[in-house]
Amino acid sequence: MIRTIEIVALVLGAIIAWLAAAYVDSGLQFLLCEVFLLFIMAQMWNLLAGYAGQVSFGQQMFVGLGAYGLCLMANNTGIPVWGVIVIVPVIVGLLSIPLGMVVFHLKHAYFAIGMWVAAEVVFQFVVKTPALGGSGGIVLRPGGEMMQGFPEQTVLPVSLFLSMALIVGLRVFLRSKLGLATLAVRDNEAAAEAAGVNIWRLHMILFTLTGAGTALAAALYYTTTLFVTPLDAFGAKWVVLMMFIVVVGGLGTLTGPVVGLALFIGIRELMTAAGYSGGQYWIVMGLLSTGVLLFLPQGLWPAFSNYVQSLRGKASS
Amino acid sequence: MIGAGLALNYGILKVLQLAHGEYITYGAFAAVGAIVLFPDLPFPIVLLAAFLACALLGAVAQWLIVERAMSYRDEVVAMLVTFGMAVVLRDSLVEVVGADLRGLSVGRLGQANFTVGGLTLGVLPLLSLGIAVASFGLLAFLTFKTHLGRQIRAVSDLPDIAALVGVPVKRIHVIVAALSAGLAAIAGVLLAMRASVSPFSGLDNLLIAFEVVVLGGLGSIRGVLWAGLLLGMTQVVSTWLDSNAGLFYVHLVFFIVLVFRAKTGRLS
Amino acid sequence: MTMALEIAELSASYGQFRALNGVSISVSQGETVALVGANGAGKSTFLRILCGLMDSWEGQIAVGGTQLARGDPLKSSHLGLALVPEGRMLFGSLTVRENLLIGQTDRDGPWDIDAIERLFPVIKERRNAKPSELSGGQQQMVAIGRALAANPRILLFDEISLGLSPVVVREVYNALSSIRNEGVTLVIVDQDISRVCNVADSVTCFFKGTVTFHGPAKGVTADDLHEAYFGGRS
Repeated sequence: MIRTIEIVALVLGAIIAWLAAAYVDSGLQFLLCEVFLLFIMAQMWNLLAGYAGQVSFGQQMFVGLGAYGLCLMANNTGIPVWGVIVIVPVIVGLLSIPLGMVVFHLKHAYFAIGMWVAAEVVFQFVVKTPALGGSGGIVLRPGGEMMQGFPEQTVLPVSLFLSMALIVGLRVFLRSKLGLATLAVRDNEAAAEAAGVNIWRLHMILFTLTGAGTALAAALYYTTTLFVTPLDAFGAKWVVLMMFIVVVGGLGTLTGPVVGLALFIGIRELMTAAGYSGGQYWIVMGLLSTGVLLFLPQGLWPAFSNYVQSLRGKASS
Repeated sequence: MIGAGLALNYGILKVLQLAHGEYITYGAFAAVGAIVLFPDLPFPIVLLAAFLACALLGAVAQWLIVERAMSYRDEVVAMLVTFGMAVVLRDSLVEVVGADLRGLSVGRLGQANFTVGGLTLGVLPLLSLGIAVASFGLLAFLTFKTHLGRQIRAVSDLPDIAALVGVPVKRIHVIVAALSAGLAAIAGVLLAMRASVSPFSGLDNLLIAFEVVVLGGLGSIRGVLWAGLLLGMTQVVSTWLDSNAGLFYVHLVFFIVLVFRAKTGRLS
Repeated sequence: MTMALEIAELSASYGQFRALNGVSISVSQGETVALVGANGAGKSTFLRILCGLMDSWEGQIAVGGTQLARGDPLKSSHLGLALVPEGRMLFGSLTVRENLLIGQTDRDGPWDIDAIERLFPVIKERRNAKPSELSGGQQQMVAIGRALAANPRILLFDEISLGLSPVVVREVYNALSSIRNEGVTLVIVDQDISRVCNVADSVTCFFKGTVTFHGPAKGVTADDLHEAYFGGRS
């Protein structure tokens, strides 16, 4: 099952998380929170698109649901915020089951668009419902009070550890029976089905997991921002980020999104520091991803590891 | 109208052109720009200029970028490439013209109307309808009555065999991409005449275009007309019943129809 | 005299599977070649390569003295190659007449629309029908007509009689002799070996990607071919 090195990684993750909470300064904590939460979301999209083969343009729905789930439940019940963060992904995961039953009738491009429209429907519904704050959004007030303390001090170690755990978890998952079935379906759907894999059930499990995981990351994220607006939480920017990170890094690989994320955050911080605008950043990102797709369509990481392997092959022969 | 170009593009090239919404925006802004620079330009020339500018953009993008992405024979790659293009196009536009809303001033035409048998009709909506119908007519003539149209349909049916009987497939792709972007530009100009457009409206328009195309059946021009009508009516009726409706009901109707059709298996 | 087709050491593979292995064939202008062999022997792969529909191959192919481009069907068309594909592959959204019109090129030759309609009168009768409204035999005639409209120098037939009734097969083969008389080079793949050998000048047999028999069609005995077909003799 789980290997020693993976346990070591988990323990190491926990230690780093604890150190980060104690010693990293507040500004950097915000940035790191965002990095790790984006990583989780990107990896979720990757699981769905790269491993289950279902490209979705509607993952921002789960971000929005996570954000709104957090605020509504924390504001209107006595459950403490950290409890809410655990409950919300479960609810969103459960909600995604009926959604999956509906959208799984759609294939390929239809699925991607169907998900996008579904996200848009939820978004429009939130905007036009005053009880949900309408287009102005809502402020996170757990139990009616303003949030106390520094949430990022808790969110950072949690998200850092979760990212580490996610990598380990995905590795273990891909070795499991279910994971092998997922890979089999990706490589040859018909053959896998003939071999007795229930594709529909498999995809439903992955869909639910990605929905819950994305909502969890979103709930954590909006705990640090303290308020949520529909335009932000349901914004297409989320799914754009997830897509770019995964596609540039390498779709269907575990390491790819790490590379993609490092690149994206790195370039953003550099460009911001150099005084470029957000728009200019997005132009660079668009050019970068287009270029990568044109010349290395499988992404940077697989291209790199293939290159290393070919070097090794030459060296040994 | 918004969907026609996209239907054409997907029908022939089999690539979901995610930059289509940006073409619509660019068309609108090309018209706005033309009018700002030359206030006395007659409207047909403005329309033509927007069409040509976007057609050129679409052709170059197809020739340099999308064609290459298509050669990987993985529709996801091509789709994501067009998405990268969309982001670049949108933010370049924002950099150049700023994030403000722009409208296309149509002068007195906007309020002009006339009454036929007790029914008051605005000139502007009629003009839009006229332009849309004329574009569809031209497009239908082109596809069904000309040699180019024959080649386009052949490429759509069987690209390999079409090349083998001597159809220059890549050139056809570029022409189709140009036509598709040009149609998007006309749609953009019509939108700008009715309400102001923002450089960020590309994604919203793209989504509506998708809905129209998917409802109408991918690659079917006549179906697109009906779907456009259905969604348009939904919008009008829902705004009338619920002033705060936004696009909620439009998206909802689309989603329900889509899933219903998928369930009954009438979705190829 | 330049050969219509000169192929040397042609090899091709689909991933791990080697479909052709060192095939060398020459065909002179105006010759009719029967290409036979079991399923999977490499006949279709051979035709696909000639048509530019496949790009992973090694070797030399010259068409009328010009090197064939790799995986470029348009270039193949310019070199004077035309294909009557297996399963007809007509353009479904074009009418019968439009299917012929789109086949036309700027090469001069005997095959204008009138000549094709004389060869297959049914094409004239059903000129405004869509291919899906035609019978299999009629579709095959349109497919041949479409290929002829290009006035090809080399006409390739893949599984010419597959799925057709005996009456239609006879009609198609009758048409072949008129096509031959116009000096076109024909390469015909057919499962019906005796029938195709009757019209052919020479026979080539493939077995597992290699040429196991090549010789004039006259005087070929059933035994010769039997061994080549099943790989009994090298």
